[in-house]
Amino acid sequence: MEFSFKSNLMLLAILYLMTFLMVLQVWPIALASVKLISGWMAVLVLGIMLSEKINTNGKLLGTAISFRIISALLFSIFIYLFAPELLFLIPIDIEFIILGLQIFFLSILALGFFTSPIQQLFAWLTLLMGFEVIYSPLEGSALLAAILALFHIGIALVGSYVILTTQSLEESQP
Amino acid sequence: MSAPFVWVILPIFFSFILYILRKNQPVVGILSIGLSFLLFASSLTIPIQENVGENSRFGLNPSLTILGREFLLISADKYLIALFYLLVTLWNTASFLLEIDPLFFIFSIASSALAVAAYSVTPFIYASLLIGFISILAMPVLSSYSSKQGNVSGLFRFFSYQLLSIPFLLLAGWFLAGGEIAPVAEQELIQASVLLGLGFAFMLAFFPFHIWTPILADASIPIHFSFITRLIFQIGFFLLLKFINNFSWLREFQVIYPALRVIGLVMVVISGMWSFFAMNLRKIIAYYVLLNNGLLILAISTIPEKGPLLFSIILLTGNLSLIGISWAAQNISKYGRGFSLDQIIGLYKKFPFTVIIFIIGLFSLWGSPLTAGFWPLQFLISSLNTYSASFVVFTLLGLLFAAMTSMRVLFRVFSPERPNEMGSKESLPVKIFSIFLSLIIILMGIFPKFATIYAMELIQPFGMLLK
Repeated sequence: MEFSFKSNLMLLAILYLMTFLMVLQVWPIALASVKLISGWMAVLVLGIMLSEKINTNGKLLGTAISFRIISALLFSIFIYLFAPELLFLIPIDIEFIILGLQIFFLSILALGFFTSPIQQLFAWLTLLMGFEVIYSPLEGSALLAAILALFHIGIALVGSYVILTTQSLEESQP
Repeated sequence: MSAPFVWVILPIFFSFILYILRKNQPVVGILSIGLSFLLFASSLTIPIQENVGENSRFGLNPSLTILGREFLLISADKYLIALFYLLVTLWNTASFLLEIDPLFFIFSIASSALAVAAYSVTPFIYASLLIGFISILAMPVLSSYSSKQGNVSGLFRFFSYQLLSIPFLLLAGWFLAGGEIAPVAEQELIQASVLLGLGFAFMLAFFPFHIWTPILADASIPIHFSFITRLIFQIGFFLLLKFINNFSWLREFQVIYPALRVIGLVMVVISGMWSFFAMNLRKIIAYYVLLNNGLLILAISTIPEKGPLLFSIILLTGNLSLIGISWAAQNISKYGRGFSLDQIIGLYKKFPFTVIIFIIGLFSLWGSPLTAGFWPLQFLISSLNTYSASFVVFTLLGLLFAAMTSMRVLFRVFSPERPNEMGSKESLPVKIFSIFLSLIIILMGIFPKFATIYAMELIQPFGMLLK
């Protein structure tokens, strides 16, 4: 089993598209499209800055893969079962809670599972996306959309910068 | 012109200009010191005209609207703005003497402006987003050393924890949004308190979410680490005070203060204890930052009595001491000595002035007599005694461990070993800065009244807590 940087980028772009489609149900298209554009810009930044450098495909053991899949499944089942209990806490449509929490908790799982900086970077972006799915029905302001858009691009830029500086130093060492 | 424009937009604009000039370290350093001092002086001198009919020829408009949200700075906030820019001036001066990376100067100005923005944004639930933005900007600065070491795990943990704080604080803010004007149901209050607690625990490195602090400190330049963590913690604490001040239901909620007291106590005991086992100066600094956080939480927990004043004076004295110890540690390492406790043996011969500020700073942080930290900690302990004697015992235990750590450092640096290393390596500006900081810390200990006057002004924006 291999980890491919490009396929991860593509999945991230698809996730941004799906978040946009979710948010579109509660926000006007002009505001919701900020999320899509900023998200895809973040994907683009990662692609441009890191695709040349990240050329290794980390190989994973079969047991590690199955452990991760089982953990993700367990979390998903847990969220699916207990999400309705949260309706009294956050009065939004159940779909938003289930999807938002799925993305949020799976990215927390990813933060725990993965140690490489690039995978942590992906986890940060997805964590933020999960939260946005839950929070968008609660509040839709231009300032919030602008700051969160800057967050996505900022994380992609700064994260790539840190990864590049660390890696270029590793390469320069004999 | 508006106050947020002067103390938020202009500094951010100037930091862009400084970024263009970043190749020239001395120019960027001098400009940033001058700019931060100007912002500090202007915050104390330029009036903010809150009423349109006021009889002032010149004064700033208190509010600025950006994307439909208001940034509001009233005249009671001017001491708080002054605090942010005074500290930046001191940190920048300290960094300039050590010829630190110019990126730090640029970041310090921009992040302080963002901190003022976080403080002034209305509704203030957006503050957590702006604080998160400070952590994004902090990453390149912190990575300047950690990426050279190939050790970015602390940096990534730091950001993960800061990022996790945002959802909880935003959701808590949304919960409490109606609470400013209307009563909140008991059930909602408990839920909002849990969310708030989690958000602040992630942001302010409450136990057990503090593990990133020593890891990050161990892979960072002490000045970078202390400035960034201090700035984020400081604005985080102001945000916490603002939450308690603005929401009467939260302010009168019985569980809040005892919970904070227990958290603060655990922080003081654990950070004091772990500092005793730390084997290098960077980790000791990290645990002292956490110790000061614990003391600040304890101060907030005494809010119905003397809490706000205690909080602001511990914050002031803690800031000065942390500048002193971080600067001194960096100065020692700059001249070839490492941060390990074995490498600081007999250091006073080579760096007498640096060693003095380092020791005074450490002693002040645990409240040694004749230092700035003495009076506020005595005051805190006597306030805690009104709740329970066990709080006093455990606080003293944590402080005792921290005192033992300082003693250990003291004996090492004044050890008579290494007689060959005679002759000071310190330049005249370094000596002057050391004496200046040491004198301030000692004078604040001997004459606490002057610091108290400023501390009283600092807490004026939190009027509901002073009643």
